[in-house]
Amino acid sequence: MRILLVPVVISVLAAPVSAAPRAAVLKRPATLPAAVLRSLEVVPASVKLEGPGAIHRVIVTGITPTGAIDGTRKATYRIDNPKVARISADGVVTALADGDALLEVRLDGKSARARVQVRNSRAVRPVSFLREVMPVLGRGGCNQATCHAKQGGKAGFQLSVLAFDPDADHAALALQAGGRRVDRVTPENSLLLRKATMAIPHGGGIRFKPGAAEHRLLARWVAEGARFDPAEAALEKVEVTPAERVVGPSQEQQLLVTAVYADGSRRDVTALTDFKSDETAVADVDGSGLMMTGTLSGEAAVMARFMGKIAVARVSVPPAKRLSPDAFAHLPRQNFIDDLVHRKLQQVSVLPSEPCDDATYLRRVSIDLIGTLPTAEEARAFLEECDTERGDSSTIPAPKARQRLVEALLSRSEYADYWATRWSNLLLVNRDLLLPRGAYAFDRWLRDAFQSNLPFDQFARDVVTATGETYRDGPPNFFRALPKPEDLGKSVSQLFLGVRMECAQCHHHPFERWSQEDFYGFAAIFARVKQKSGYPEGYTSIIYNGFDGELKHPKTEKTMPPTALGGGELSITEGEDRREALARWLTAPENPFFARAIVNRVWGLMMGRGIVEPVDDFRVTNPATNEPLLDALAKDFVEHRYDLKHLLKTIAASAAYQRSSAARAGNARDTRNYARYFKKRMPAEVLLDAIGQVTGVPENFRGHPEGTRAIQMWDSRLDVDFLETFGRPVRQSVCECERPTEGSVPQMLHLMNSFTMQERLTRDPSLVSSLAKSTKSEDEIVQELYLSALSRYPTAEELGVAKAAFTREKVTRKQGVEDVLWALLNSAEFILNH
Amino acid sequence: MKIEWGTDQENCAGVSRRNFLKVGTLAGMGLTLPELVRLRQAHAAAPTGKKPANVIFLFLDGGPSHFETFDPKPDAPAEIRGEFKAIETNVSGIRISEHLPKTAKVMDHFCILRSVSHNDSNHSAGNHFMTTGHPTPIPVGCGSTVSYHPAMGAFAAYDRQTTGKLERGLPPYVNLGGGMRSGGPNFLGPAYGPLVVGGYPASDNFRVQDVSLPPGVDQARLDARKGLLSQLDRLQRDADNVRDPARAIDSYGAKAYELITSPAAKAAFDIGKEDPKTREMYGRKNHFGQQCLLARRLVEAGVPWVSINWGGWDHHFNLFNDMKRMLPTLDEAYSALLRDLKDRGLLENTLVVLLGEMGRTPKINAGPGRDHWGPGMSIAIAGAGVPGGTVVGATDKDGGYPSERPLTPQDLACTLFHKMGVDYRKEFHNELGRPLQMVNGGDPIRELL
Repeated sequence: MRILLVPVVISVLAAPVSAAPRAAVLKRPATLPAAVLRSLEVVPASVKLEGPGAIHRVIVTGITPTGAIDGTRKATYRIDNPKVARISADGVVTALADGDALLEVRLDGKSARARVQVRNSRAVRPVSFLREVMPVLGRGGCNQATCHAKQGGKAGFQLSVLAFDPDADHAALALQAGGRRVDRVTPENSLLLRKATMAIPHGGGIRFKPGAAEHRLLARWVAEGARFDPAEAALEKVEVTPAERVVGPSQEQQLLVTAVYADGSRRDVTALTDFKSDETAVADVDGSGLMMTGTLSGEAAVMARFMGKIAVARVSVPPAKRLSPDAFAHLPRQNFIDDLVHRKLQQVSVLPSEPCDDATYLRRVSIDLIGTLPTAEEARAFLEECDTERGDSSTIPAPKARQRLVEALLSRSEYADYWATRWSNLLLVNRDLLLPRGAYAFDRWLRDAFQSNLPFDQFARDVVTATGETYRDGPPNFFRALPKPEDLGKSVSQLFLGVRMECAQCHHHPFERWSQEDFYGFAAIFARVKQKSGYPEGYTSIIYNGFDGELKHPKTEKTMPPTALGGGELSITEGEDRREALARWLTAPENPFFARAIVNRVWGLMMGRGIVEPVDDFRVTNPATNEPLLDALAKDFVEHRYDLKHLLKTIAASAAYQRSSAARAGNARDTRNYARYFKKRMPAEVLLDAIGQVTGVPENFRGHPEGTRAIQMWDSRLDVDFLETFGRPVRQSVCECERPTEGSVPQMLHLMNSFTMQERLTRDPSLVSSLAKSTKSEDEIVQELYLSALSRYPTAEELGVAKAAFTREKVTRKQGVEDVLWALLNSAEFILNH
Repeated sequence: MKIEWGTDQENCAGVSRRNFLKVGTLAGMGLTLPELVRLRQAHAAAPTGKKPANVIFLFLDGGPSHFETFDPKPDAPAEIRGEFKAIETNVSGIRISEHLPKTAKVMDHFCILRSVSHNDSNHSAGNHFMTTGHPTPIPVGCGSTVSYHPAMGAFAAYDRQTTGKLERGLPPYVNLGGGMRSGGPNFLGPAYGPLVVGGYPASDNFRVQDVSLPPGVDQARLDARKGLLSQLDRLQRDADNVRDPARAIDSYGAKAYELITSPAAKAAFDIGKEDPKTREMYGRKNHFGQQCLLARRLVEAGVPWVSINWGGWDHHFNLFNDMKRMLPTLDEAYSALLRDLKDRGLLENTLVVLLGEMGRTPKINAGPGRDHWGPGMSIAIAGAGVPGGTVVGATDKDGGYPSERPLTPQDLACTLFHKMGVDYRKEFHNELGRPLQMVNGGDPIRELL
């Protein structure tokens, strides 16, 4: 027996020894900054305390000329009627007796007031399962996914993830295990309490001490009969105050978390809330909701979670030495995007990089808009045009030439090729799922849609309401690829709403608002999509609306009414295809998801990072880095009738898009506020086309006409080594994440050392062979190579280095050209869009 | 030859065979206290003093029939028994399929696990389970390629790379025969993904793609080009940002250059340097055999994990004819690999695992074939201290379910990591911040320790 105990002891030591709230890593600042206050504010203005011993905290904010500082722990408090309530030095008001009082707050010569109302302070009422017991278990970590909320529970005891299913939790506690978990006669003997206090061995360790407030509360609940009144008002949401704030480095900010119940009642649950910062080095928060900033500047989102509901407080920490507003006054501005980007940059006190030069812009915007590298001739012509506009060859941007360039690019056929390729990845244009003819039909439809600049609302409508034959029509193929309503629900939601719901299929998402009801309600929209074989039998499919068919919630077995995401039932007229109602809801200008999701996706592809990132993962815990910008882009997009080309033009025209990718002092660490252009690897197809174009030795694709570019291929399953190596989506899901964007060793092996690359350099005819054979001077050859690969002229220094390669010992002129082009094609400047 | 990052592989397109089977069992009874303590301690730390094992993971994609390979049921009725006979091995009491005669002669080198089972009787889910040790959280279709969890090989790469136990220039995780369906690194990130080596090592001009210098380029020229590149590539790098894509290109480029120029890696991949007699032993025309030989060369050089993916074991139809064609290839290669490793003293620290994603149904269908069956399968495991000439567990008389010592894929995963000296109870967080264990549950199979 002694031996057997060993592992048990180890597990105890490994477990948390106390249920006490986690201490923050960052230390509280010794002193708060002295500031001249303009005024003082206290929140809430009216403190309502209901029931015996009720508590509520206040937040005191000092308004300074430049912002706001937290005064909650610095202010002095006085309650004019001390019999009614008392207040602690850190701002927590406790009810004493029924009555009204006035709270006066003073700080640095300013004052503010709040009313205090205490009601029912003598009322005796049973412990509430929902409001009191569950939060204690939540705070103790009992219902986390790693403990008893694990699938199948732990040690036979299962709770719902973060208390989303109180009925089941109550049954687990009060009814299951033969009722051993609660002992109504001698509550202290309840398994629940003996385990939690480690009176008997508990794999999860001690969650609270005997006699602690939690212990007393649970014991009282058991003694009162371990009851759960289902009529109790449900928790609707939680709010965190302040929701957004700029806090200087090494300062503090108290948070207040308020629970809002279905009956409209509100309650301070700060002390019962679980806090988590996504960037503890910037801002950390302790168990009492006191947030502390570190010495690093940056941004953090602090998640406040109570009973499965979440609110997020966003904090920006500017550098200790803030830049003066003048520094931001004269930044180049092209359109509304810049106002909003600059506002954010000023808030975090980061200066943007300089504008990029014309050659960089040409290369960048060509890759981003049409997935095609400019040729040497195009580069030469554009640079000349810029020089003409400017009157010299400096690096000051030539805005008119840039604007004309964008117009010209958007009218090229490669525009449709590139964006159709992007969307065929997302819409599962995959011959393994659709058969070749189906994939081909869908591919053609997409190319036509982008060629004719189909408004995006119409595009979405055509896809989600598609009926017809897969071999003949494009969009019905989407339903062939995804025959199940559940898959359609989650795919449409991710594609067009930017919301990932797959977790909600099986359980309540622990970090999200979506429940299984939401999931199956949305999926039910697709319950009547049917398919049958067309002719030839077994090949083409006919997709149609079936007028019957329902989807049931797998647990409750309730037939789910088709429901819009986050909203009520869809208004479906008699006999109408449910998807028509979906399309109406989706593309209504007031839809809260649709326009934001698509502008964010396009913005992310252009800018290298979505305002919400990943671009198809909108959720409370993944807040936008610039909410006003996202709103403004969406509004502009809707106002311009969902015109994708307009959106692209607007982004391409912004100063934010036209910045250099080179960091300047103080902005190298910015990865989310667009202080510079974020470099990104060219997508596989674009890079392959670029290499083919530059070397003059393009890839040939089996089954496609000669001269077909990778962005023109319909068949995504064709085995092409290069594309496999550099990563192309497998088209099995609608997730943008299917496209790998990272580099890899094999990619570099391919570029550096592959036979095919060497072949592209040495073959005749090719760019290298024609240059080597030509009568061009070495200077001209190097220039041509630079213009072809990098869309710019070489500097004098580069010219010198490159020319030296021609004169190495035992090297022919052709080999010299090969080596210089090899170096250019292996450079980060070529591989990346920068 | 090609090196690439994971591609998927087809199946449900029938071919195949495989057979044989077993007898005595080694263990299967209750745990003694000292054994329990030993297991618990094994969790905390891997075996000390011994060299941690490298793994050769031979994956027969499609789900080879256990009846026609390592778990024959000669006494079962004909509709279960099938056409093949069972033969004696060099270990008395253990019998396997008559079409694995060479393997029968090295039975003393390996152990048959006859009781690993799961309920994911389809390719994608079964493949995921057996390759990662982790079941798929949701049912997945037959043809899909899914990754919900890093492959065991990716964890091995992570462990060796982050602990500095990997020799310079060597890839930590190699896939031969194309990428595995679920062989990817998932949340560990691409740095721990497999180096996928395709192509045919049995062909005379086999070269691993892009590792050997192309015609017209010698090392001096490559170095000259690199020199030129370093002078010309002036795009600004972000000193403060480890995720700067330009810096990633630099580090991948440096690793690529190491692979090209490292004598260790190059030599390991250069199967042409192998003694012709050895190549012959593995079957000079035996594609799988030459892959096994290449795998041996790689682990010999210090590569911690090599997976070989051999598809086509999905025998819904034509089971016996296909098996008669495929088993001799397997037999030749597998027996040669074990002999070769043994002769070189490498078997002591090389773990060789031969498995598929599932077994096949007891009852022979009209194909004639056998259909998907997760609850029963056989796994052959050898080396790194695994007692040879043994059988662990058994299926019932019909070969459908474990009747002794039921084991899980998690148990297998724990065993592999344990032998590699990897702390398999380590907790990771995926991109969503969700806590994940390398292996969720399971224990090392004590008979193999």
